[in-house]
Amino acid sequence: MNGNLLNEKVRKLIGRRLITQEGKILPVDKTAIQRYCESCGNLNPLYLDDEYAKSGPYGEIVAPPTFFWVPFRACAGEFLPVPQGTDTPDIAELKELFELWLGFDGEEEMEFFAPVRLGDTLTYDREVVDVTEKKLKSGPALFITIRMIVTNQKGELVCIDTLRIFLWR
Amino acid sequence: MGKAELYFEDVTEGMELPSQEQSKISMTTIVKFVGGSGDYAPIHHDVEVCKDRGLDKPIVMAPLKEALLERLITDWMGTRGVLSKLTARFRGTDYVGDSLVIRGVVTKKYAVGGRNCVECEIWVENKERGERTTTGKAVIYLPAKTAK
Repeated sequence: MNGNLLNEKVRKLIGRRLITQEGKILPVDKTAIQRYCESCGNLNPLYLDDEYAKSGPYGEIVAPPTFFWVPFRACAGEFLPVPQGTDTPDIAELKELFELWLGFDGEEEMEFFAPVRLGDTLTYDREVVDVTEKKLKSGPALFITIRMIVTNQKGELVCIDTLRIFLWR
Repeated sequence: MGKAELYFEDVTEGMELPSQEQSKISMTTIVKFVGGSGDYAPIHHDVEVCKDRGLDKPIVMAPLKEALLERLITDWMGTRGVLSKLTARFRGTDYVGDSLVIRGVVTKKYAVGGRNCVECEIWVENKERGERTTTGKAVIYLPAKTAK
């Protein structure tokens, strides 16, 4: 069972585009920003206080930079044939693609450009850019790199996210 | 909490950012972040799933640690600071009940392409185990005192 994970079939998945939740992403609203900020204890008034944000560099409330994932993740649970609550859709999608069972986040690099503003509708373009095999203590694992380009409804670049995940049997 | 200004001239290489602590992360904190972020993976909130995977307790999710690293920076960089890049490497596991200390240090400052850039090494320390469970880097742009 513990064979070579990086076979030809897996290599062919490099370049594969992943689920984008297109058509299901909701516009950013104050409730979503406030809930995110309170949940991680980031109470910066630039994100929460209309009056303060008006006189700040953006002229209005903006979301914290790492918020870009939230509208995407809010579409959880509907789009893949996995039992409810087994996994997040993107991890479940990768496991199905690579026929592996367990996974965890290895590292993430986020580069931020235009801020996320109230009313923005974000678009997520995701692609498997690399797959390598590594030997962990528990056995061989695939190290998968996914690049996600996030843009807004004005076509502005919001974020380039590079996420590396380990998957194994 | 983001109200003071931080200028490029005020920053020196080697200076430490004010550290922050998240003491004894509770299940309530995790559940709030599940709601706030949408990270529903059951390994972070479902004790039965954790037991099936050989874990005593749910584990703290990576996006929460990234949000804590982000807060360290955004609290420090002032109203006109801009977070350009944030990277995080998840080296170790943090569990519900653990206390985390978030720290940073300025590693470089330089001007390039009309921007005043500051790079910081940032990390999350697990107090219970005395190890850095998440390491990372931030790149920030700061305003200059001399500019308008």
